[in-house]
Amino acid sequence: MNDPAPRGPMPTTQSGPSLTREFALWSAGLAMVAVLATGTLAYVVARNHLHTDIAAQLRAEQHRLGERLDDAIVRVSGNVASLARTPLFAEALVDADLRKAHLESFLERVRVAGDLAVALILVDAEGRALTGGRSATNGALLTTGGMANPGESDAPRTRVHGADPARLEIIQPVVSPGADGPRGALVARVELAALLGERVGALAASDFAALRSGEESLAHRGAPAPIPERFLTAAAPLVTLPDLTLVLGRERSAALAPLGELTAMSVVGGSIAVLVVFLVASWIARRITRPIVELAAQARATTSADTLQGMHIDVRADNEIGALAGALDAMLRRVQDLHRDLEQRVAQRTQALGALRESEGRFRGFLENAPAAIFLKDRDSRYTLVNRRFEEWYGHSAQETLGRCAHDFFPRAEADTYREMDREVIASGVPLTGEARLTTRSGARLWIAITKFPVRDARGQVIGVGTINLDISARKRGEAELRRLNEGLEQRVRERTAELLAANRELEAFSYTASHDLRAPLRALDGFSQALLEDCGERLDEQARTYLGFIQKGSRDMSRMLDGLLQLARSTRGELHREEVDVSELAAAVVCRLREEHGGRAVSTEIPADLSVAGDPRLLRVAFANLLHNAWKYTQHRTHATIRLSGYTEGAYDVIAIEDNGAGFDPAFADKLFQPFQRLHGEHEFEGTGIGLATVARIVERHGGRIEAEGSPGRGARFAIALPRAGREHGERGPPAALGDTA
Amino acid sequence: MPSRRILLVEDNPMDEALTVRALRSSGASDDIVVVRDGHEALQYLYATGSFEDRDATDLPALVLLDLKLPKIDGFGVLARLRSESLTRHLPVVVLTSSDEQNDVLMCYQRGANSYVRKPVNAHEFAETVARLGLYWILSNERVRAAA
Repeated sequence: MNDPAPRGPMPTTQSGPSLTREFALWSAGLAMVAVLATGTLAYVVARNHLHTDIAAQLRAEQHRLGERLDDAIVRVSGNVASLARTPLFAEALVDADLRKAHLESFLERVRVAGDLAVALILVDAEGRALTGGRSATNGALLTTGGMANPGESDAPRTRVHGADPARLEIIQPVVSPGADGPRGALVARVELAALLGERVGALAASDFAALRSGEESLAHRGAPAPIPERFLTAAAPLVTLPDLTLVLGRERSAALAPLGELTAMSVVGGSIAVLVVFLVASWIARRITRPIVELAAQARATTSADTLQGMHIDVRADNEIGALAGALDAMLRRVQDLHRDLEQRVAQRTQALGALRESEGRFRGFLENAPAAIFLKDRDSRYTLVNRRFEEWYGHSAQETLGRCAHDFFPRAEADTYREMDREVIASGVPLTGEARLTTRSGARLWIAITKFPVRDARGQVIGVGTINLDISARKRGEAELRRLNEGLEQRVRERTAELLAANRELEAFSYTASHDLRAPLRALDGFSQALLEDCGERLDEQARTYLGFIQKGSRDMSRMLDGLLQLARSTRGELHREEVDVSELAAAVVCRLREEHGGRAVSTEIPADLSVAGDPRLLRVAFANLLHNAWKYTQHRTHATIRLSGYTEGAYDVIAIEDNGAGFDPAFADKLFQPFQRLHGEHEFEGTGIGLATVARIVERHGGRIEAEGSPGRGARFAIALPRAGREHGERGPPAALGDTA
Repeated sequence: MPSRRILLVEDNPMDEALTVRALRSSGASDDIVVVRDGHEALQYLYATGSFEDRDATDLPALVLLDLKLPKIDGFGVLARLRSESLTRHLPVVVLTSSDEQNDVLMCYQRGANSYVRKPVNAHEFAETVARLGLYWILSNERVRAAA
């Protein structure tokens, strides 16, 4: 089978919308939306979590740092308190020397908080600095620092003093052993910045730590914080010094670095997911659409193929597409069937059309070359078709004729006649013929045979009248001539017939007269001669009696001849009645009669038992009687006379032969045997009339047979009669040629 | 004693003479009435015309009828005889020269009792006529006149 449809995957260079691509894009898009939505959601959730974590972490770090600061302050405070309780300080309150001698150096050396620089200053109750120490520059500090009266209370106090640099002052009262002992306080002075620096240690570049009192930053460490929005912060007041707030800040970018990672991971992961989804979607789309594409390709192949014959759609799929392919295949087959059917019909139509054209051509040929004026008219007697002969005869072209009536061209009476004939044909629905004279445009006078016939449409309705006017002038002339000749001929036939009838009548009359009247005189001659002999015998001499004998003999001969002539005449007229004739019986009867008439003769006869022929019994009796008479007569001088009959067939003829051993005849004169009144023997030898064989020959001829005679003088004669065999067509016919030419 | 009269219908006087001679010499009958044509024969038989005085019921024993006769021929006479109840069974023998088959047939169709051809030979003629005279007059049984 010829299958031009491409198989396998669809062509990749397909333009226009692609189901696969569309499907892939849609599924990929949907998957992407889903992935992005979930990704974004997860991202947001994760970021929020991270945010919280980062804030918590910041707070924890701030808390830890706060603890450390509190811890430092507590330790310093404790150590200072311990020192303040030392009697030395109490003594030193009052003893300036002591202060100079020991205390100042001690205060210079002592470390109350590790490496943290703490300036210890002994102040009196009025707040005047008694010692300088490293930091105790003057007594004004103390008085202006809010600790107006450090000795007023025994409770230690901690306070922030000063602004630049801001310092932390821990004031521990120095208690004298007696109640009215001197009063003062040991002040530990720490720079907040130092404290912060010592306690916080190194900070990441993105971090800062600050101690604030209200909105005022008292100490700051780490990254500067010009734009607070850039930072995440955690702030809480110190436990030991609630006026101070420790702020831990971290640059957002740094703090949220894990968040950026998360975002990057999300983007990468999302992209990968999208890519995977797209690939999977494409694969699935291709996998799903492959049968569709294949189907489409096969279907497209059917549209581009030259012929649908032999094509089919074969897509294996267990789903609706398979069903669709099956349906399409069935449809294709149906289309093929229809196409084939259509092709056939078209071929038939084409053939029919060709035949129609051919028929039209033939029709045109006949129409234009017919020796007749042929034209059609519609029911209203308007011409719808005329041929060339019409134009020639009537002198009107087709152009001026079509669509018009006879009344437009012909004299009114003539046109009326035509219209009447048309109406008659339309009304009766049967053809009409007639003859008319016509004078053509060229002046020729014609006889025309008019044939008008109904023209029917496919449903058999008469839609018009067709007319064929045939020029029959030649025929008319011929007919006239023929009529003239016929009339002459008929006249001659009538004359001849009359002559023949007259002759026949004369012959009849002669026969009748012969039968009735010619015999009477003979009878009178014979009868009265006899009467003379009988009644007046004594008075007549011998000579008179001899003469009377001659009269009698003459009258009897005459009578015989008359009988013969009548027989001959009868054998030529009258009807021939053919039937089976038993020749054996007939011959035996004749011979029996002959024996009676000629009792003295001894003639031996041979007659076979089963001789028969078909013929008229009366005529055949005459014929055989004549032949047997002859045989009997011509053997009268034989001592041992023999007459033999025999029968045989020769072709379609039955032959009966009669032989004798009599006088025979001279074959030289055989042609005279069968002519009337011709005799080969003298009357003195054998009496006879010469009519017998003529009669026999005539009878045989009338049967369509033939007679043949053989013989030689003194050797006997043989006559053979051949008659058509029974069952053959009855009627007179020519003689058979097989019997020689002597007859 | 039934009638032995013979009515001979014959226009030829020679045949008439020969016939009468033969009948007489045979002894069949001496009572021979001769008429010359068919018309006269019918007048005789039905006692009309010149035979008015005759008794019509006194029929002859035999009619010898020639065919070729003046006025009314033998066929006409025969037909008339057979159409009348008086003569329907009257023996009629056609005695004629003709041996035409047609004549023979027509005579029998018209009710002839016999058809005899007059032989030319004098011996045969005399013999034939004598024989039929004897037969029809002496041997033949006729219907009684009363019937």
